[in-house]
Amino acid sequence: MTPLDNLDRIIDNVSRGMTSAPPAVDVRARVMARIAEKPAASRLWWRLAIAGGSVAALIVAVWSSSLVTQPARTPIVATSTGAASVASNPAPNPTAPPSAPSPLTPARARTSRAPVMTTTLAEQEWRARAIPAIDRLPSAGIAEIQIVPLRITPMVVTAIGDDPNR
Amino acid sequence: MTGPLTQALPLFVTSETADATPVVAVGDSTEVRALLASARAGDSEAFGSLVAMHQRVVFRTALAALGSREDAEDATQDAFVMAWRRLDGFRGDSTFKTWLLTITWRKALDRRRSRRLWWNRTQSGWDNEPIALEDFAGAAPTPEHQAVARNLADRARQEIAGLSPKLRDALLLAASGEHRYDEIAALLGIPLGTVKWRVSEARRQLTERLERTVAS
Repeated sequence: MTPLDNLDRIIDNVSRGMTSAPPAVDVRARVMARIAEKPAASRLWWRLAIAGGSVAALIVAVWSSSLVTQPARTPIVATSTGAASVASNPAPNPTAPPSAPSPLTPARARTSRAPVMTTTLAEQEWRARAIPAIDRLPSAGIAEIQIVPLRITPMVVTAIGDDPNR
Repeated sequence: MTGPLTQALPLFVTSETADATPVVAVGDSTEVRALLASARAGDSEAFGSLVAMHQRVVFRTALAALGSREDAEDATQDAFVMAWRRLDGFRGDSTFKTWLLTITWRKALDRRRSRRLWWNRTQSGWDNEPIALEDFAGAAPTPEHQAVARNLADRARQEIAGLSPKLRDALLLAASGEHRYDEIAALLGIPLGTVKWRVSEARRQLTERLERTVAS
């Protein structure tokens, strides 16, 4: 009888041997130790720190998003185009819808952090000291143009051979 | 693990239902029932006695799934600790052993997935376990035949490791001698007939491969 004739037996022996190892002698002691131990304090601190960090990040995210959606709260003195400021004219327009965008603020400022176009008092004073722009000259009509004729005196040239001084 | 037997075998229940349902522990011995009652009351020493009673079968079950002695020991401890923490959820619809082994199997599979050890780590596990020569004494009466048998055994170990997980798990659980087929079915969450087929198919494939090896 060759081993090939007993393959079933070999398979049985090998597969049984693969799972027949005895457990460690101190399994009970290890399990009892793990049951008795309390959660490590460091583990609790880590969990608390992660939870606190998450809450703080959430608060910052909500706060920053609310800032983005609100219009700028800085007092607007004047626009870059010299228009009257909103701050100096606080009376609301009853006909305007409450959500109407301010003409002083670019439209994209409502959804992003684009800078608000305002001018400071110093800039206003500088603009007052600035040289005024030259007035535009009136355009001249074709009929108003008077052309003076050019007068040319005729020049007399004498022949060389006729010169008595030579 | 969703099979008909597992579905009919609730393992964990909420604390409300656990309080309302008395522990019956069908099939458990009187000693196990008494220890269970004490352990559920908070007696850790009683649970320690249950650990001592079941540590071998739990370890071998984990070893069948993991193939590494070290990992099987860790899974064994994890299973016992989880059983202690969830002892209130044990309703007694099955034996304590079946309930415990189901936890063990899940722990072992979790470890098998998470550590990716699978069968690649058998170098530190079964490959180091010597196979007793007397196991083949009847099949190999002469030294020459014994050498051939040992080579075949080594080859068989490799072929078992190379089986698909479903076939390998069923084969090793059945070969361990610790479980009946119906217990394996409950453990794996598959019908009894499927367990028998997988064991048979695993043996067929192994025989075919070993015959091919000898022929070559």
